[in-house]
Amino acid sequence: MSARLLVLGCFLQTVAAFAEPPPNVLAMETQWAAENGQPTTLGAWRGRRYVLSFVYTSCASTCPLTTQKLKRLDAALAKAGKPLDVVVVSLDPTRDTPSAVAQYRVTHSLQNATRWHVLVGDEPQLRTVTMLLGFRYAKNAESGVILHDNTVYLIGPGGEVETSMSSLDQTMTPFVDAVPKGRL
Amino acid sequence: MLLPFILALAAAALPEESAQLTEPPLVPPVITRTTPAMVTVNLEVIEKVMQLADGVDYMFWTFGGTVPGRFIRVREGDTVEFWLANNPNNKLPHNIDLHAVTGPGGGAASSFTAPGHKSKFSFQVLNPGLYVYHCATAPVGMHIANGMYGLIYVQPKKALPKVDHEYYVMQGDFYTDADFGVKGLQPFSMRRAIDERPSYVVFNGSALSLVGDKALSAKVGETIRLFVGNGGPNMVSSFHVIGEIFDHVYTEGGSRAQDNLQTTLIPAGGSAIIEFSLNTDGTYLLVDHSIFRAFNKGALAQLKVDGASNKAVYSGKELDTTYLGDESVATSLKASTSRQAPQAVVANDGRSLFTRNCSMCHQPEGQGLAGVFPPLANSDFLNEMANHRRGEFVQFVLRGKTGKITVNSVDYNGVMTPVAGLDDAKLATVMTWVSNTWGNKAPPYTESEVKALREALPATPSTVGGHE
Amino acid sequence: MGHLSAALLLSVAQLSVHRVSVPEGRFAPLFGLEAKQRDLPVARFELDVRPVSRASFNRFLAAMPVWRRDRIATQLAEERYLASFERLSPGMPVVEVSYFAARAYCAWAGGRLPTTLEWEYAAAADETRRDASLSPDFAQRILDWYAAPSSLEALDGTGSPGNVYGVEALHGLIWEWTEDFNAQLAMSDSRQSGERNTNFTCGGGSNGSARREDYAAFMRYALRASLTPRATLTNLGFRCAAKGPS
Repeated sequence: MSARLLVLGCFLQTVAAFAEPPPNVLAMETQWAAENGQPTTLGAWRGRRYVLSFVYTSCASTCPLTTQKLKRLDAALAKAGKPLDVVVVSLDPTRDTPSAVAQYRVTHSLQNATRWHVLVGDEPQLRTVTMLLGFRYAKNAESGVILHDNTVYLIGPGGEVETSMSSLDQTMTPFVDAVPKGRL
Repeated sequence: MLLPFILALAAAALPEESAQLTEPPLVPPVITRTTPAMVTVNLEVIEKVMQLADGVDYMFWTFGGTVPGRFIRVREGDTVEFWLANNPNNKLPHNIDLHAVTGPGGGAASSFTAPGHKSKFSFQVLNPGLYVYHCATAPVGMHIANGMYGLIYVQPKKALPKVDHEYYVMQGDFYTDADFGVKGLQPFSMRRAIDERPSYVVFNGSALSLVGDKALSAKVGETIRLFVGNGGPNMVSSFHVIGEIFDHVYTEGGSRAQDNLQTTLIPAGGSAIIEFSLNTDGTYLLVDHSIFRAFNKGALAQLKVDGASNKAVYSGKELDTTYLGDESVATSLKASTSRQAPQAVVANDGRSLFTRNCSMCHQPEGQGLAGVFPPLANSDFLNEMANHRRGEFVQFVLRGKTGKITVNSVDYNGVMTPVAGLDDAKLATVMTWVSNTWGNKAPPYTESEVKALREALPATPSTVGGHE
Repeated sequence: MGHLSAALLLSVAQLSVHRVSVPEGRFAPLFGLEAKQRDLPVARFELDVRPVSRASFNRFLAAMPVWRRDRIATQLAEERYLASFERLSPGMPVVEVSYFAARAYCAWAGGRLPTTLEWEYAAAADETRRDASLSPDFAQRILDWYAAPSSLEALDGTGSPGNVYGVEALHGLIWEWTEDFNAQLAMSDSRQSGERNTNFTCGGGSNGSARREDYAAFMRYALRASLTPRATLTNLGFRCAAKGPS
C-alpha cells in the first residue's frame, strides 16, 4: 500500500516537474529592426541554432563584459568547427539608434563580425521576448540606468532554450560543449 | 550535462523513502535504520481559518493545515528531497527556511513558490538536533505570526534512549486588534505585531489545542520526551511544566543535556528537547512562566497522568488550619521548647493521619457535611461501633461503605471510599484518635487488634450497616 | 428581449466609460530606487476603473480564439488557465489568466498593462489622499483582506471603494498583473541559477526597501516575485492602462 502510494507520488512529481515547458522565443511573434533598417523577426532564425543575448550600448557596467564574453564564445565555437550566429537584442530601444549601434560595433571591433546581428525593437516587443525567456530588466526612468540579468542563451532550431549561462560565469565550456556539431 | 547524471547516480545509491509527517502533538516513530537514506518530504502550504481560542477565529497560514506545521523526522546524514506545494486557493507566495539546512537562506529562495505551484530542493542534514522551520517570505514576521512554523528533528546517528511517549508542542504569539477572547474572525494586526504586544500566546496554535479531551496523556511510571519549539515571531518562552522537574533538557535543541531544570528558555526560532519521568498522577500544566501569558493570553496546555498516586512523592493536601500570625509563631516556639508527652505524640500522629486520609470528606474538625458526609464529631454511630462493633469500624475504613446509615438522627446514603495505604499501626492510631476526639469515647485500638480484625473481615465489602 | 438588449447596451456603455485619468506625480516605490533617489516620476496615464470582468474577457476570446483555453500554447499559460471561467458570473473579475493573455487582452482593447510603478502609484491612494500607503488604517484595511478566506464567491465583492482618482478595487478583491511584474528584482549580477528571489526572503525583505512598514506592499511585491508569466492563479487578474493624452 505505502509502496504504491510512493510510486504514485513519484509519478505526480514527475508530471509536475515536466509540466513547465522550456522557454521558447517563438511562442509569440516579435518584430525587430535589423541594422540595415529592415524589419525582421526571430522567426528568421527558425531551423537554425544561435546564441542570443541582451545589452544596451550606453551600458557601462556588465554589458561590455557580456560583449567580450560573446566574442570569446563566438571564437571558441568557430574553433570547435560549429560556428553560430550571435543575436544581440537591445535593452534600450529609445537610445540605441542606428548610429549608436554602429558605434557599438566600432567600440568592440565587430565591424567585420558577419555572424553578429544587433536587433532593436520597441518596449512591448522587448518585454515580450524577455518574458518568454524569463530574462528580467528594469529601467530607472530618471537615471536611465537599466538593471538586467546577464544571461546568454543557446536557442535551438524551434526557438526553444537549449542551455544558458551567465556572461559573468568563470567558464563557458559547458555552453560550448552543449552545441552539437553539424549544420543546424 | 554529465554532472547531473553523476549526481543522480549517487542519489540513486541511497535507499529511498517517504517521510512520515505527523500533526501536532504527535511525533513520527523513532527511525531504526542505521544507514543514510534519501527521504522525500511533501509539505503543502494551506491558508485556512481555524480557532485561536473559544469562539475566536483566525486566518492561519500553515505548513500542512496545522499550527505548528507537520513534524518532520529524519536521521543525521540523510539527504532530504523537499517538495513545497502552495495550495491553489491560497492568496500568497510562501517558502520555507529550515534551520536544519546548511546553505543560503536555509532553502528559502529555492522554495519560493506562488499559489498553485510546487518547488523542489534537496539538502543533506549534517547536524543532529531539533530545528525550527518557518516561512521566510516578506514580510517574514507576518508569515510567522500567522502560524508558519514547525519542527524538524534530525535524529542523531545514535538515537536518544527510548521513552514511553514523545510529544510535539510549539509556542507562538498572535496579534489581533481585539484583546484576548473577543469572538469572531480576528484579522492580523500589523501595529500590535510591530509593537510586540501579542493578544495571544498559545501552544500549538490555539488556546484550546492541548486542554480537556485534547490534553497530552501518560501514565504514572512512564517517561516522556517533549519536542518543544518556539515559533515566535517575537516572544521568548520561559517554558515550564507546573509540578514537574525536567530530568534532562537538551537546551536549545542541541546535543548536550542539562539535568534537573525547572524552567528552560526557548528563544523565538529555537527549541528544546525535554525529558522527564512521571512519578505520580495528576494534571500537569505546561506554561510559559512569563506568567501573564499563561493566564491572560492562552499559553497553557495540560498533561494528564493517570495511575496510582504516589503519596511518598506527593501527599496531596495534608493540613489546612487557621493561621494566626504572631500568635501561632509564639505557640510553635513554646511547643518546640517544651518536651512533648508520649500521649501528645500519638495525638499528633492521629490528627495528621486523619487530616491526610479522612478530612477531605469528614471535614477538618470531623463535623461532616450536612446530608452528604456524616460527622465523626459527637457521633452516636461512631461511638456505637467503636464500643460495641469494633470489627465493623475496621471494615468501614478498609472496605468503604455503600448504603444508608443514620448518624445523630440524620440519614446518609452515600458512598465511602476505602482508605488505602495505612498499615495496622497507623490504622490503630487514627481510629483511636478519631474515637477519642470531639466528644467521642472508646477503648483504644492496638496494632494487634486491628490486625486480627482485618484478617477476620468478610471477603466482600459490607453493603448495609446499622445492625448485626 | 427588450430587457436583454437594454442590459447589453448598458454593459457596453459601462465599457466605454471604464477608464479614468490618473494625473502625473512622483512616487517612492517599495523597491527599485537607486541610492540617494527618493522617488520616481510618474507620467499621467489612463487606468481602468475596475479589473477586467469575465464578460469583457469573453468578448476578447470570441474575437481572438487563439487565447481560448482549448487553443492556447503551453508556453503562454499553465494548465489552470481559465479553468473556472464557466463558473464565474459575468461581472466577476476574470482570474486564472496568464500574463501573456492579460497583455494580449489589453492590446486588443486599445491599451496595455499598467507598469508596476503606475499600479503602485494609483493603489497608494485612498478615498481622500493621494498617498495613504503609510497610514495605519489604510494598511490594516488591506491586510484584512488576507484574513478573509479565498473563494470563487468572494470574487463577487466590490473591493476597495473608488479612490481619489476614481479607481476601484485595487485592494481587497484580487491580485493584478503589471507589465513589468518581474522587474523589481533585476540585479546587475543576478544569475540564472534559480536563486532569483532572495530579496523576498527573510531579512532580505527589508534591506533596500524604502518603507519597511508597508506590509501590504511587501505582500504585493512578494507575490509578483513568485510569478512566472505563465502563472494562472485563482485570485490573479488584471486591469488595463493606456498612455494619457499629451
